[in-house]
Amino acid sequence: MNIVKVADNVLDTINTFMEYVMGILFLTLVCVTFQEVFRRYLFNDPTAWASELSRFLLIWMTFTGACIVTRLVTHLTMGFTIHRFVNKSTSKAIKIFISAASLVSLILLTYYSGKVTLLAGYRSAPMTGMPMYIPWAALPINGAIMSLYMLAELVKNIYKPSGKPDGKIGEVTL
Amino acid sequence: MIYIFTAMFIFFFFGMPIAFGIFSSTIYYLLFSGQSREMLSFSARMISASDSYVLLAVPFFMLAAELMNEAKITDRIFNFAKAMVGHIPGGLGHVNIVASMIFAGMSGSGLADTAGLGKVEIKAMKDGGYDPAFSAAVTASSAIIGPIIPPSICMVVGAVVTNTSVGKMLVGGIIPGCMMGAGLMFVVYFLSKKRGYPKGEKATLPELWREFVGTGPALLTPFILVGGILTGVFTPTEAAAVACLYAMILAIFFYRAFGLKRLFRIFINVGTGTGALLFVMSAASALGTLAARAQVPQNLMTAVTSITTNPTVTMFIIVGILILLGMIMEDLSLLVIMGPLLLPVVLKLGINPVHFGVIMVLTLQLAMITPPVGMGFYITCNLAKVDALAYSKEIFWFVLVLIVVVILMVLIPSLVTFLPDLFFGK
Repeated sequence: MNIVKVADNVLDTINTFMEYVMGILFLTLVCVTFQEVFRRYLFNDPTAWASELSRFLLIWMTFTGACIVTRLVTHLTMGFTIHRFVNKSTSKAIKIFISAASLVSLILLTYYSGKVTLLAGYRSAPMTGMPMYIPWAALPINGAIMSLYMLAELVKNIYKPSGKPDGKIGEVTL
Repeated sequence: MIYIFTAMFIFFFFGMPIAFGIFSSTIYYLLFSGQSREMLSFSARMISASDSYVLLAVPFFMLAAELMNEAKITDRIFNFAKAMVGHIPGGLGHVNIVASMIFAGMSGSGLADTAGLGKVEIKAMKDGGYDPAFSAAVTASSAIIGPIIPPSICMVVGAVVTNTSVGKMLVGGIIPGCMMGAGLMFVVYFLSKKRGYPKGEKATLPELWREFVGTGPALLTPFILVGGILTGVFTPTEAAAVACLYAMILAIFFYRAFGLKRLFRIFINVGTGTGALLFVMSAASALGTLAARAQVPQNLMTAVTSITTNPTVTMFIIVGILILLGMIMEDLSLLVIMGPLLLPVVLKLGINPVHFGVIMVLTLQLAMITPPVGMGFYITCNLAKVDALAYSKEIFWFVLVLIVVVILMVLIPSLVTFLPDLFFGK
């Protein structure tokens, strides 16, 4: 079980790093938007690149955020699930099934979004001139990390004695 | 297509996260039906769904609310509301509703209202000798005014999925939000009279003034937001950003609530929350494109128009379906999934899309607090530590009044569309 623990620590470190990335992304977004508002209303001199750049930042925030909550197991779920009705071992089996299904589809999603990014990413964005693979890479990169997280989740679901509470509750606001 | 939706609901029911459920079911469908090339466009669509300038308002609305919560401005709002309406029978109940309405002008999500202000409200009401179940019911039902009165994350997303102007949707929520508040206060008044709940002392004018000054700067936030959007000075996204900047300055320099380190942490948390939300939205939107190509909206339209072509009856059917679905699912994901499917039907029957969007948001919020399941219901019961059954008994009258509000909105569209038309033209 030791290797599981080591892997867990590694993933936690990755997630801390992702949180920093998220903080910096948001901070940049806030700065870009503020400077744009100031420029437009105070100096009447808007920039061409701000709205495009902020849209790209939003793409990165979306998938980075999704990635972080995957680790924290705080994704939005339906409140009314089968786990209320079945016994613990069935519930465990279902959880294993669900995480396996998520894992496979995440890998597929990562693969295809990576392919799309490579296929069409050489075009450059109209305003910033940034090649499109920079914003588009958000999904394949975060998808890959999410797949890792989901693999860990699957392993946890298999080896964890049934009935223990899920994951840790992160400090995520909704 | 029906396979995708069936698989999706099975996944949801098995406890798979909403976003995963949506794209997993789609991906498996595409895989097993041999359309693997479609997967390229599906994943491209998922990326481009969050590539939207309008959606940028979402993180800013969330940030503004979180900053206000962190700066404990909620306590001040509560005290101010207490000075205003605390002397009416059922005092704290009214305070709860009025405070929620004021906070609704700063925050865009019902859950933020419950988690921040709700905590203060429930504690105060419990200490004031109110029945915990009653306090929980008032808190839950007043918190859902948050997404109705601008700013509102739901309205922004609703505007994106129904292809209407965000400004119009946001402004369209003002009258319904105020009506909801009035309706709830009406219920509190009668229940309190019947049960003899205490009322507070009437605040003197100097006291009211003192509370107003304490809250004052924070009270400007809704005016910056709503005023900025109404007068067309700001786009909703810019208005949200300016409100954030204002809240940040207020929280750090005026109230001295936290330092820069904490601010960075708030950025991370709010950013993550936004990401989780928009991830669901992007998955749902990619599915929506696929559904549109499979002509699902057209088929749905044929099905509906074969039953009725009366717009009002159709709206009632939609409201009914949304309430049922909303009881088991989270509001935003339903909005994103159902919005594009229903929109062609609505447009075909000549219903104003702004009217439709606002009703949709209103209905889904209502469904959130309705037992047996619902996020709002669940969170409030946890906060107030009340049993679901006791809560269900108390919420009955509140839900009834809110349903009356929804019915009025459906019957009289101008209640929703009057303000948007006035400010933005038809």
